[in-house]
Order: sequence, then C-alpha cells, then structure tokens
Amino acid sequence: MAERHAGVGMAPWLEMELARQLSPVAAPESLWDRIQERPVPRRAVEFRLWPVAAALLLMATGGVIWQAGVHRKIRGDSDLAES
Amino acid sequence: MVLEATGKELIEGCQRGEREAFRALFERHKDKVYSIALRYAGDETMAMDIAQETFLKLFSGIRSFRGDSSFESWLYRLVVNSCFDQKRRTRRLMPLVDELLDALQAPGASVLDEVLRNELSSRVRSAVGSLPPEQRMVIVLRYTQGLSYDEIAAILGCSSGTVASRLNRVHKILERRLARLVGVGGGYRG
Repeated sequence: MAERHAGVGMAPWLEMELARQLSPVAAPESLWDRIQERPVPRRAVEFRLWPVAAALLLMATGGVIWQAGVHRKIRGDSDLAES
Repeated sequence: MVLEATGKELIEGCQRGEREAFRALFERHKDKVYSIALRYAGDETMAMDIAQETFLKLFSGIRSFRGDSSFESWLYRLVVNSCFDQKRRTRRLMPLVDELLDALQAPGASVLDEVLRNELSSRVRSAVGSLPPEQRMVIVLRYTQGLSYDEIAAILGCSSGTVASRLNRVHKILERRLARLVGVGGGYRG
C-alpha cells in the first residue's frame, strides 16, 4: 500500500505540528445564510446567454450573405444594361 | 426525517430539488468543506468564499451527478477546484507581532513558552501558506482530512507515487524552514 510511505524520515515534531495546525474545524453557522443569499451562479446565466448570442451571430452572418447577393445581382444587372 | 437519510437518499432528494435534502447534505459536509478551505487559504473570509462557492457548484451540478465515482470524491474535487480558483490570499503584515501580543495578554506561568509556541505555529502556517498550490493541497488533504495517498491521488487526478513524492518534498521543505525554531527532541530553542 501507498500508506507505507507515510511519515518516512519525517521529524516527529513536524508531523505533530502539522496535525495540530491543519486540524479540522467547524464551519460557521453563517455559511448557510451566505449560500442562500447568493445570486444565481454565473454559469447558469452564461448557459442562457449563449444560444441568444449564437442566434444573433447566425442572423448577422445571414444578413451579410444576403447583402453580398443583392450587390452581386445589382452589378450583374448593370453589366447587362451596359452591354 | 431527511437529516437521518442515507447519503444516496439525500443526493436523490437534492436531484429532485427538495430543499430539506439540500440543507441536510450541507449539514453533513459543511465542516469538511470549510476545514479544507480554511487550511488551504489560511484566511477565514477567503475560506467562507471558497466554501460558499463549493456548495453553490454542488447544488447547481448535483443533477448531473450519476454516481460513477463516490459522492465524497466528487465533493472533494469541487472544493479543491474552488481553492485553486481563489486568488492567493493577502498575507497579514505582521503576524508575529500579533502572536506576541496575544501571548503576552494570555494568562499563564511561562509567557516565553507561549510566545515560542505561537511563533512556531505562526511559522508553520506561514510556511504551509507559501507552498505552491498543488503541494499545499496535498498536505491539507492529508492532515486536515486524513485521506490516504490513493484517495488524494483520485481527487487530484495524479498517481499515488506523485502524491507520495509531493508529500515527501513538502516535509523536507517545511523541516528545513522550521528546524531552526525547534531543538533536538522537539523542544524550542531559546
């Protein structure tokens, strides 16, 4: 087992001091209140925003393509008229 | 009652959106989450932020928990990631002076012993706080939660050998930094 490595060559005072300094503590009672007061997590908002952003991008791309098509058609018509 | 429910029942209750189940799950794991956050960050305000963030991630993501790994491992990974996401804490400017004042104000037979003990405690906290995040987290999970090398490895996504090597390195670093404060046999040097 990996546990055989534990504390090998380690000074006993350090082991004791680390155990003392890093011992578990009780969470403050106010933690639950803080969790309840917290607004909606940012991730949830981002999740709702990305389809809207994608739709807008799609519409903008469609608009550019449509504009390019219109310009090409006008240029084609004017070329025909000149000839 | 919900508070007496098994872990699986609580998780299922949370996945159904039952408020009491959330509260019960929080009560069951709050000390563990807060302890890791506090021992990693070394600061109560930051620990509260980390713990709060962890539980919010837990509650918002519990529907996606399918039980492929144990709930505890999942929870540990959430708190570890929240710790890593936090910015480095602002160090207290004069921790030793604070400790000295505390010791002098405390009643007791030997103020000097108290001062030296507090100095060692302060140095240990400071030394742990100055470790790189991965090394600090290994030592927090080991000493705050008493996790095995295999458990730590699963949480951090590395091998048990890596955990052993990190712990060994940390022990050597701490021993080197703190040894001058400690005499042979663990006594304090004057």
